[in-house]
Amino acid sequence: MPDWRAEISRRLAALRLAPAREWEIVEELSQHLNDRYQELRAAGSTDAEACEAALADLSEERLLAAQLRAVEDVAPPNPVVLGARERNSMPADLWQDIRYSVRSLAASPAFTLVAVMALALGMGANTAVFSVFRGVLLNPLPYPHADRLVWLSPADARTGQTYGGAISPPDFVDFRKQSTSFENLSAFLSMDLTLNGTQAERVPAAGVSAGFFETLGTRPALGRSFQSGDEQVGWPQAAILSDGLWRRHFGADPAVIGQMISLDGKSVTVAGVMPAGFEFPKGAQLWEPMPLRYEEMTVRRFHFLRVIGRLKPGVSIQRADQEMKSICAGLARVYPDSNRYFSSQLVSLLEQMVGSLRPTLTLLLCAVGFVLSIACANVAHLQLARAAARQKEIAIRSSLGASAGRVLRQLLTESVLLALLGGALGALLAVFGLKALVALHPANLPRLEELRPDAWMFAFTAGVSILTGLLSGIAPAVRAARPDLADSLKDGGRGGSTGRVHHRMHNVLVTAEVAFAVVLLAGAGLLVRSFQRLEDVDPGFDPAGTLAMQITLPMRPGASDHSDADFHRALLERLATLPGVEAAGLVSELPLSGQGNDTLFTIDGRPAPKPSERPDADDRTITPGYLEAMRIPLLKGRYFTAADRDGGTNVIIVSRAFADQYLRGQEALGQHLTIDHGFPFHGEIVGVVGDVRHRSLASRPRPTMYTPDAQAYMRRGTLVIRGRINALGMAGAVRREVAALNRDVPVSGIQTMRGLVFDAVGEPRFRTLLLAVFAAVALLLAAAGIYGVMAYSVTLRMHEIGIRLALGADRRAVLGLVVGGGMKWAAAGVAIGLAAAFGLTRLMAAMLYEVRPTDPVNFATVPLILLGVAFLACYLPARRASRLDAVVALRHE
Amino acid sequence: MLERELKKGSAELLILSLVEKRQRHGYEISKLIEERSGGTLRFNVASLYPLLYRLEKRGWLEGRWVEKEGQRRRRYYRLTAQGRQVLASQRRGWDTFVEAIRRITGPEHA
Repeated sequence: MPDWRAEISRRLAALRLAPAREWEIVEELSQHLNDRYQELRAAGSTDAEACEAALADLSEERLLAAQLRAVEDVAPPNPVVLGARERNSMPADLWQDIRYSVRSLAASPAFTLVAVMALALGMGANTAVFSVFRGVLLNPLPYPHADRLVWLSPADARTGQTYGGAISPPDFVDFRKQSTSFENLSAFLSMDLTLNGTQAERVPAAGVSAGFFETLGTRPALGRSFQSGDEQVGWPQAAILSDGLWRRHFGADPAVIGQMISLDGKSVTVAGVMPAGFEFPKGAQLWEPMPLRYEEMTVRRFHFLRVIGRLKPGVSIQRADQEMKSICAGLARVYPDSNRYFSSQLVSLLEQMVGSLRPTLTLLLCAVGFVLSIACANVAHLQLARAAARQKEIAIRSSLGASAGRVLRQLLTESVLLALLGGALGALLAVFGLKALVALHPANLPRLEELRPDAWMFAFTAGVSILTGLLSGIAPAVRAARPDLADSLKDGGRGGSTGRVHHRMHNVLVTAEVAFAVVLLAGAGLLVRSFQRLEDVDPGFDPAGTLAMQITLPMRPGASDHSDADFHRALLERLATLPGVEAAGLVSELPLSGQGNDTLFTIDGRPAPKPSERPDADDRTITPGYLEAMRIPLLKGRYFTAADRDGGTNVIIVSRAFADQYLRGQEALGQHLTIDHGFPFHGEIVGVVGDVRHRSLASRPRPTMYTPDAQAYMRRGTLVIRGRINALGMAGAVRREVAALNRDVPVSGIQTMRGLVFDAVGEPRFRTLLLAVFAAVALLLAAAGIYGVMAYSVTLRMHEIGIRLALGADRRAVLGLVVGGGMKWAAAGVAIGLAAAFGLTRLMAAMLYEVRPTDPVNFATVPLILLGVAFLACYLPARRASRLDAVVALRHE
Repeated sequence: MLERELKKGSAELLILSLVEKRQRHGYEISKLIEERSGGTLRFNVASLYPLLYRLEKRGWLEGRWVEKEGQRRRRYYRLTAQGRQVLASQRRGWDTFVEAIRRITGPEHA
């Protein structure tokens, strides 16, 4: 007689009933079977027949459990048994997958932590840089129909190149009259104005043509805008205030409209107040109409206006550009003296404002993409290793009927969940990163201060997270979802064929990581070298210990032409008595400050060139003491002195570049020049000084002419003071001296020359720093990846290593075996990365200063760094392997 | 559908009827069903006991272990008060049903 109890227990096992209840059922059913058996035996059946008949009463294998399941309090189906219910609804499955994933990730906190950190780094960097990219380059400007706003630059008609210059007022008036492509075309001129009140205040301002506000599609919130009548009258009669100035200076009083205020010592009427947030050109807080009919405004060769326009709906930039070019060609025929080579170039206003940043931001976006790829590869490593460890778990699920698809989906869910965790942390990093970027950003990067974390940013992170989760999870999941069931279920089923395939995938990932890191490191290396060269550039003056500040004298109608020079002289005399002041002087345009001025000149004794062919050089007016304060070296002749006064012989100092370019092979001293200052300034060259990098550290020094303010003219200048002690500490004393002379002279823009030089390389520093940081993160991640793979590989091969050691292999041979195995793949990555870097760094050529994209030092150093790091990452696990005890290793499963 | 419900309903009716007058154990119930139907109806173990447990759970039957002299402990089922009501109602339903079938399928009367 068979053991009925055992048979029934076996069939009930899956239900996992409470033991007491199970015992009861087994007892009752076994009695039933026993009764049946006894009865059949009594009726004359053989033992075998009776057994068979009784068992038949239990009917088919699964029926009992299936029937009881509906009645009894069975334990809920274990959620671990994946795929137990094959065709469930998607949402229910997903929910099950997510719950399972959470438990699974929580069960291996070390793995989860490492993976989430790697992903957070990658995604945080991506989110932050994407936010900058979108905010700066893609977000429309804050004006209605901003896509129709354009910027008109002058261009050289011979080459078609723009050179960042300006437009002359008569040209602008002709453009406005003749063009048909624009709803509005307007001009403006950035300047600072002194707003007199209880204390004189310098206010960033702009002179604008009528229709300026209409061009930008923004009307004053109070009062009126400028009309064409405002252009007709003398220098300014009306002014429009920014919201900020109105609140700060006028207590937000609406009655200010129509009131008189004093600007630069002249009375003007407040015509309107702009709405909050309107700030064009950047920083402007006050707008005045430009008297385009004023005499100074009718000289075609004086270019100082910036021109913006609003295209008519439906007119393309190309069409408008064509029209403007043909208008320029017409003007060139009518005014050959001034306009012969003058043409124009139209670009969108957004492009004009941020176009120069596009290469840097694109570079950074690529860089963080690489960083994320490396992070992805790292997480894929971790998941591969983990999948190998979980083969048995997965095999059990598969044997319980989970389809490969279901297992795959579960593993991908886990991977995406991991990436979302990383993304959430990354978004947090990005919020801080963005703050850091905005804080770090150099003053000349536009729009950065507009950046805020927004919904777009978080949507981007979520999207990238899901993509990252799928990418990093797909390979491990596909591998794991098709395990060799029989092999995996056996206890020692590791390191078989599956292990080798896993390992090949690891190695490919290592190669890819190294390649990405090489490209990043090569790019960062070039920028760093370029930046070093840039920092080593001699600006032509000594910035250390020098303080600069703007001093603007009020317009004094009727005062003699050189009363300003008298003021400067008096001020410099007072400053010279201050303790700690070594030298002081003023200059009309300070180097690296963004100010500039150039003009035409002729050299006496040379045949007069055609008016359109007259040479042009940078033009500065200075006081005695300026060149000394800046330590611009005297090469020949003398500096200006107090004796160079009005009425004496007019004197000029030129730069070395000027002498080399225009007076080559001649003695510069004693030559006479006629400089076009609006009026001809005729003087003699009495000195030659060193070159100064005026526009930027990377640009070549331009030929420069210096004239003394006592003979020329300077109303607004920058005071430069060289101190023997702390330069910035002198600011207060200087301010007091200025106020003691004239309390209506405002002092503004106080900064050290060192700060100015620092800011001058702000953008290169910004991109170099960021790329270097990303490259460092990439290197770190790649090193971690290699280390992880090698450590894992040593664990996998422990048995093999044990055999080698037991057979007498030299420990050094084992070391070589492991390191060699890893370095082979790293070297492949270096080779691929170098090839890619050779191609990609070419695209950076425009960002490099005196470093070629193929710089041999860079391309020799980068592979060495990578191979060194890879070696270290291989060596540590290898050393562990070589120190293994053969017996322990052999016993290791 | 009807057939399945019918069979399920009738199985319940059969079991309730068998324990109406006295308590019986599972094997006995299965034997009686087989005998009284002349071998036409047979419940195997995998169907009978889950059904008994279901009826017990609904409160129509009550099962308890009873030890009798010289025998193994057996589990006997008897009808509860609620079961009795259900049985009465099911019987009425069944009679109505059978009558309806008879009317439809029986020889027509003029």
